[in-house]
Amino acid sequence: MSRLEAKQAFIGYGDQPIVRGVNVSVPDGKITAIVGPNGCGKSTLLRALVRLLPPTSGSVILDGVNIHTVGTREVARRIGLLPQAPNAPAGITVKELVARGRTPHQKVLRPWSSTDETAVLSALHSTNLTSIQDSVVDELSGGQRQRAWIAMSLAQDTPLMLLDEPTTYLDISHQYEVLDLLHRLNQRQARTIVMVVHDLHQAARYAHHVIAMSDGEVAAAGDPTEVFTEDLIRDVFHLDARVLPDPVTGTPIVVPAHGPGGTK
Amino acid sequence: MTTKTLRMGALGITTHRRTFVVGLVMTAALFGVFLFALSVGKADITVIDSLKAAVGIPVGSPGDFIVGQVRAPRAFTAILVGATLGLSGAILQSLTRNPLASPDFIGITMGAGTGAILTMFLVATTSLWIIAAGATVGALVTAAIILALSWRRGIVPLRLILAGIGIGFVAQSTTQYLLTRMDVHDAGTALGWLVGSTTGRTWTHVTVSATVLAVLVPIILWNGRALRTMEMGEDTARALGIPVTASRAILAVSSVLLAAAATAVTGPIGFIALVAPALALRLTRSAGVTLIPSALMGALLLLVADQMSQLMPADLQFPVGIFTAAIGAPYLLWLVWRASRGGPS
Repeated sequence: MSRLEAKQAFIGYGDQPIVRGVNVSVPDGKITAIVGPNGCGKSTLLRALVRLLPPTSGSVILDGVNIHTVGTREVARRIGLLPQAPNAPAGITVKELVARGRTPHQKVLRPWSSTDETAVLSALHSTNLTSIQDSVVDELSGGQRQRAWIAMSLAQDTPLMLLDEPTTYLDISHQYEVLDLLHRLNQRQARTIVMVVHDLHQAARYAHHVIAMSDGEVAAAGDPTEVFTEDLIRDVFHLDARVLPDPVTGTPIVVPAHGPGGTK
Repeated sequence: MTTKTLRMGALGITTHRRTFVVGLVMTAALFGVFLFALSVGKADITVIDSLKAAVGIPVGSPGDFIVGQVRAPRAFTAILVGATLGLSGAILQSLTRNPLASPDFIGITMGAGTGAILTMFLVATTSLWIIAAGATVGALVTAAIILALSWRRGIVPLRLILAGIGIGFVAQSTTQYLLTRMDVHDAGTALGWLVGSTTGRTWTHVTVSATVLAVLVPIILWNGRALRTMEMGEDTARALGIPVTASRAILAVSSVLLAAAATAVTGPIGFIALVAPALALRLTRSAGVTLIPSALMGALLLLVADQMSQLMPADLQFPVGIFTAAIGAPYLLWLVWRASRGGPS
């Protein structure tokens, strides 16, 4: 089952489509990772899936209807997005930032409600931010800041969450902290998660479904063990690589075959 | 987050307790200076009498004229125009995320001035409503030109400031040229207006400013949440359900209209729109734009500047614009200094 799909979608700026005729289904209740080399159209596809960019032809379907016939606010009640480099207003506290996630549920002249408060407190709790809710976002570590943004997305209370490179700029332990959090949210709250990631190992370990993109098209989609093959890595990333099982989980690990100690 | 909710039945607004308290304090200060403005001057009139005279209740003394026809309209004009400028600057600074973007800096006030002078030149009118209409057209045309020059798939803040400064000079030169072509008497009137002053303002000036605020403030407050959310970036705002394109257009036009109205009523008064929103931000320690405190701060600053200009000895009575510059210029230098040190602005 899939609430969110792209059908024969061409997406781009001006008359040069970056994404060309892709068909994508986001499986409900699963974690989907979009991978691919720089400039392959991953982020463009993600932006189209949340209605930030209209396809030049083809369509994005949300709950069976063309997403461009759904109002901005209604989309925001069903899909949350964490952009690649979001701007936190100077001096905003963690709790204030998380509270902004309630925007699509609020109306002019309606005061902050107990539903809003509950959603914010529960988002702070699930991201382990309760103890630092009054800290200023600018002063947090990279990992804490990213958790605060994810908490904002959580407070938005959408069944679908889209994240554009949520682990970029974080050190390795913070990367796994964020990925574990997304995994927990998916397991405990059954949220559908779509994330653009660079690290194939992380994609293979955390995602149930992988979409590999190459040059604006979908090169392969499916279970990580089916998608990450030596042939696909060569075709998509132009990298001669070996695919081995992860000693901890058995999911695929991609190791380059060239370089020092490898083939020339 | 300590918040305060003001309710009327199911309706209500929630704000930070600190913002609420700062708002109350500024309102009280504004009222205090207002009473001072009404009652103190060459002729001292009791507070009670001046309040009565200000609202048109005859007190049977010179206060009827001095307060009723001179001080009250002047004080109200300063309050309303100050609030108008504070709001206009707050919106513009928030939309562009640049503390330098205020209507007097990016040429919109100058454009309004050119529009107003052109109207005086062409129509030879003294009707404030017609002059205000001319100022509005001038401001909108200027804003459209600046936007066209600075647009590259969205507003580029630095281009906006530079284009604005350039267009401001063009507008000023046009105004100068128009002055040379005007009848000497008209040119004198126009020149006096161009200085930016609250002297000799009448109830008509109060009516024009109040009308513009009454129309625009509800529209602006209605879009206040959109404005705050757009500070987080266009994508985030859209993802949070804000119709970015429409909200931004409504707010930008409102800001330009406010600047035009203020200019029509008092002539160009600088620095209030630049400084008031920044001071309001600092006092409320709000994360992001704070509209009502910016308006209150604008009102307070202009009323105080106007009082300072009146308290000077007669031969040193500069127009209020000089005093707002005295407040604003150091702030501007501080901004530049801070930016040159690479700190957050």
